[in-house]
Amino acid sequence: MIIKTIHLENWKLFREPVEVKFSEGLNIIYGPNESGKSTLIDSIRAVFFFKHTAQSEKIRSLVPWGSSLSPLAQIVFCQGDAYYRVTKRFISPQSTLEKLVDMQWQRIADGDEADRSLLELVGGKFSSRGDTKPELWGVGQVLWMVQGQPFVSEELNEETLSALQKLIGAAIELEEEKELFGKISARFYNVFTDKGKGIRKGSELWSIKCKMEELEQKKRELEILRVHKEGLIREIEDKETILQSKKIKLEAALKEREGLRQRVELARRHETERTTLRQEVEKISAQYKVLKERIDRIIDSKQKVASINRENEQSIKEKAILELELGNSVRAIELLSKNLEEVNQLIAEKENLRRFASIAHAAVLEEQKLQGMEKELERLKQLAQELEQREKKLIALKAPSREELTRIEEVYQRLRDARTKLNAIGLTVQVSAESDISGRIFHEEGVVEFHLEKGQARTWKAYQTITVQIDHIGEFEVTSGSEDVRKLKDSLEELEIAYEKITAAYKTRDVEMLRDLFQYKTEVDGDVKRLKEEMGRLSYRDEDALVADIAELKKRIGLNWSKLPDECEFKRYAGSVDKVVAQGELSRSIAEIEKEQENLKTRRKNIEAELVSWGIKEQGIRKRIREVEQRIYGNEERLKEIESSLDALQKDVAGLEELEKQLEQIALDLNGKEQTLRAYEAEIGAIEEEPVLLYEECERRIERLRQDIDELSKGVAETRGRLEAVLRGWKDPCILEEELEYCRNRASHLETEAQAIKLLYDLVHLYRNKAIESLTAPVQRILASDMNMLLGTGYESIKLDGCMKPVGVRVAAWKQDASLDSLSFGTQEQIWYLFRLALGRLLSEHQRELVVLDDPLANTDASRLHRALRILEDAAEKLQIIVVTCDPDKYNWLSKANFISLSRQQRQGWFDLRR
Amino acid sequence: MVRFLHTADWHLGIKYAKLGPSAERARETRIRVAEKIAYIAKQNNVDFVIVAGDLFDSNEVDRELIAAASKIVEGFAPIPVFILPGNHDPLTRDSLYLDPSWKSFGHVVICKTKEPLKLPHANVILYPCPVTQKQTREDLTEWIRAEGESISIGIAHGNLRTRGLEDVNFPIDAQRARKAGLDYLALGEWHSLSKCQGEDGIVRTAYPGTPEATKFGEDGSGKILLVDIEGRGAQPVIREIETGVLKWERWWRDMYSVEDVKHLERELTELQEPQLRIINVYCRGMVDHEVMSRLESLEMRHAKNFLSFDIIKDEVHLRPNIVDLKALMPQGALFSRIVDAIGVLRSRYATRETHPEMSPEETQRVLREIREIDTAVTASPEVLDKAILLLYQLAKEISR
Repeated sequence: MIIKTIHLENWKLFREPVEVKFSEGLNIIYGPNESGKSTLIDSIRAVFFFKHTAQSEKIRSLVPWGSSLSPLAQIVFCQGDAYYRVTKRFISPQSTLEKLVDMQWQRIADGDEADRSLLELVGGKFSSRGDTKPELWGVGQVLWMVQGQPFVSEELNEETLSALQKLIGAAIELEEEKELFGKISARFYNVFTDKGKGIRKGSELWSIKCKMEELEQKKRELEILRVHKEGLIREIEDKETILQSKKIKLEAALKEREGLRQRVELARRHETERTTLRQEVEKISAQYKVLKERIDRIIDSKQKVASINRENEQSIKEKAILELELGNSVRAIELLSKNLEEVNQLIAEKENLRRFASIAHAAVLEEQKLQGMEKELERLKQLAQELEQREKKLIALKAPSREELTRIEEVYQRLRDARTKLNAIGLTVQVSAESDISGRIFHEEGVVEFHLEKGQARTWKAYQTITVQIDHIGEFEVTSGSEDVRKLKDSLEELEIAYEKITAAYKTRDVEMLRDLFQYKTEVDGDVKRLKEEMGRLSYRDEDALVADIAELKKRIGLNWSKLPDECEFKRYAGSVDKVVAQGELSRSIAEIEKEQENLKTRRKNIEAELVSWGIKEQGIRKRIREVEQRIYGNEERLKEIESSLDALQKDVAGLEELEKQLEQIALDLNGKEQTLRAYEAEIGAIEEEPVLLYEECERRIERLRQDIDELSKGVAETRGRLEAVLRGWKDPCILEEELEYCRNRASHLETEAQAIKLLYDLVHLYRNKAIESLTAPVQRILASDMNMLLGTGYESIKLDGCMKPVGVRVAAWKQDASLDSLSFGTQEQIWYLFRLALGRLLSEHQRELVVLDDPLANTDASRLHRALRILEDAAEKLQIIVVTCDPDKYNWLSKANFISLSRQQRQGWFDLRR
Repeated sequence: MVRFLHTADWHLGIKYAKLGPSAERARETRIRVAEKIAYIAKQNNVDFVIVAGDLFDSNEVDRELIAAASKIVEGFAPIPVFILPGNHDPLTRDSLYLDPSWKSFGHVVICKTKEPLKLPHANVILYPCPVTQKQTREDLTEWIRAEGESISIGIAHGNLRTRGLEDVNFPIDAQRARKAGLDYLALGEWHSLSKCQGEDGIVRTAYPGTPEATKFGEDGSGKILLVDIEGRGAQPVIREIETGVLKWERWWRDMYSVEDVKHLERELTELQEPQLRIINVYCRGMVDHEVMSRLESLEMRHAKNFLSFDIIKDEVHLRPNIVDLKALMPQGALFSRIVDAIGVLRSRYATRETHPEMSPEETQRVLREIREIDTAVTASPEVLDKAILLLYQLAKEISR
């Protein structure tokens, strides 16, 4: 169905009538916002899909604002090779359908019939509620895009699908098949959940499974209970067994106790007897002890007396011996003391001698020293004399010092140089005599007489002037006019004067002699120094002191010698003997004496030591003697004591024998009793202790057994109680088994059935999808090539779902499908755009169909837009396309398009604009 | 002269696995039977009643059963009832006989020990052999020495060692009656009534069997014994009394056509008292989907009439008529393809026939088409059969 013209009156903003003619191919309606573009397109739908009597909001909104006029629309369209004209007026409803027959409009229907017939012609349905929607527009659902809704959200309606099916020749699902599949579906969803994955909660299978679980659980619980019950039974059995055995033991123990009672009685008696006996034994024992003691003491005392006496005898003997010894030691000591005295004396003598020798020695030494000193004095004197001489000489000597000498020499040297130079540049007179000549030479130096014989030559020098006087001849005077010579001569004269000055002090001018003087002075200086040094080296610088000391020393010597007694042998050294020898002899003597002294001292030491030891010995002996005496004394005292006690002990009896007899008697008695007692005591263990122990142990055992029995009985009763409780609440597990078995069978059947249903359901779906697939193939093909062109090779194909709607694209790079909503809005828009065009082309197989695109590709960029429009142009070869846009420039380059501007239409009345 | 009822193996509380919801009813029946026995006892004026073991099916039945049993034995009063614990309800610590409620009945004696019991008002001595364990190789009757002038009756529960049954639990010497000097040995354990002749040709040993059958194949059950003994050494006079009500039947039928199904149905409807019957019908044959469907619906319809009704179709092979099946629906796109698919799947199983009218190439193609469907790949032969039947039934509904 394609639209030829639309005529609108009183239609929304079209207050003035407006008519638009459409071409067969591409129509582009453009105009600014609110110019009525969409209103124009909407009118198609309003006319086709609303009853003329409609009063809905939508219809009422067709009335232009502020007016009460009824909106009127007239549309001429072409369907199946015939032209029709529908006129509808709303509010004041009117509806007419006409057909063009033989170039004339023939009315076909009016009113409701017209509405219905129209719908039959173009397809679609009326809405049951107020507004119409795309699903009700037949194939228009896909082909006619509403502004702002580039996607088709609802499932494709029957008409679209049937139209496609018819075209494609796909096998159609029959009504009966539909019904069958509906039943299968119903059965399926009865058993399975909505998703088809699990068992539905309310289904019989699920209930049975739940029941089975319940029963299993109960079974498990019962099993636990049964195990528990068995446990309790075993417990009871065990306890009763033990209880029984304990009861038997108790009986035995009670019997045992009876037997033991008697033995305990016996034991008691035994103990009493034993105790009595023991007491007796103790008494007698005491008596025995006392008596024995007495006897012992007597004997003891007697023995002691004897021993004391013996001791004393011994001691006296000892004492005698000691006294002898004492005498010995006293004598020895006396002797030694005498020796000591002697030795001391000797030592004293020697000491004296030594002393004298020392004095002599000292004196000799001093004399030697004196000699030395006297020598020294001489020397001192000598030196002083020499010194005096030299110093005298020194004073007399007039000699230059070194500096002076040096200076003198220097000047002399200069003088000599000057002279030499002068000589050199001065005048030289050489005379060689051819005959004998004599004369005088007068030069600066003086006059020189000369005599030359024949053939002799002589040379005289002068500086500036020289006058040769030859006897009998005459005089020659030669003067040098050289300046130099004159200068030199001047300097020479100066030098000579200087020389004179400096050597004036000295007696001579001769340098040599000056030198010698200097030398001599130096020598003398040296001598003086040497002498002084030597003098310094002497211990005495001062002669007088030395003399004094010598005198002193002489005095001392004299004193020393006087100390010696005249008879002393050493005095002989006092005189004039060789002191050295004397010294040596004296030394030797002294040494000898000292040695002797040593020996004596040693001897003395020995004697003293011996004395000491004897002394100690003597002390020791005295001590021992004292001890012995004390002992003796002590013993005598003791003896007195013992004898007195002995008397006391033997006071009231005849003698020792009587006492001893008494003792024997007692001993016998005691022995007998003791034996008996021992016998008793031997039996303590067996007769006294054991029965008691056994009895006590038996009692304890009985007590324990009673307790155990008590406990066990309680335990048994308690466990029995528990068992009974368990039994009371008992439920037969077999009944559960029964039910379970039954449920299992039923479940098995239901499972099989469920599987069968699922199989059928799946097969139905499989084949349905296959059917649809065959339906979608042609659409896919068109879309694929268009997509390629528009979107590039990135996307391989569009995926359509089982109901022919695009749901995704296959991405070439990933070989995977991407869902539509994962693509950008622009791309989605483009895909739907292509889809509409593809479907339109398919459906236009037999007659042109109308595709409406209200502001499509709003989100498409320039490059894609261009390609999209190429596809549009291409499609317009087979379709009628109406594009609504506010931007006609986009579509400018489409050469074959019919551009309809609405902005002018509004203002002008009937209008038909062709470019 | 003494007269008594000898019964055993009441098995109160027994489980009936196969009866499903009817199990409870069946159990009820057993209680009714026991009550009937009380009635019979009174009617025949017996001196006492012997229940020789297995009064209860186990010691683990619901304790409420004790109350039920008590009520039953109360119904016997004042006739003394001697109850012997059997191997199913032995006198172990969890025994139901230990429940104190038994003591409240003066006329009921639970035989708990191996001791002769002298009856107060009759010249009878009973020699009970109670079972105290779940298993034993001991012959519990060995202790019996019946001397003296009183009528001596032994009560025991176990397996007679007759020829062929050597290695058994609770063995009982087949000659015990003679060896022990008993006039009668009342046994329990075997569910079918059986009498044992002594060497002298006189029957002194008998099993009454269970008074109500407990499963299929218990021929000779559903009875109790009424025994008269004139005096010491006399031959016991034994009479059988029917007590059982439920009928356990097994039928074998061939199934090939609709006729067979109809015939079966007629048989079933003609049965009397279906509510007392437990029937297993074992079918064998080869049927198409229509017959199978009918068979199934037959089962469903009649099941509720009987106490239990089961058609065992293990041996019935389904051979669906593909052509007929397809013909049920008008020639559309999908139905026949689905039928073909199922047919192909079935043909993969050796037990099912190959799909007619389909070449191997076509079969391969179909298999490839459906191989992504899990249910198709894993469907067992039973599931496939069911699928065909379902399809058939649904299609039939629509085509009507």
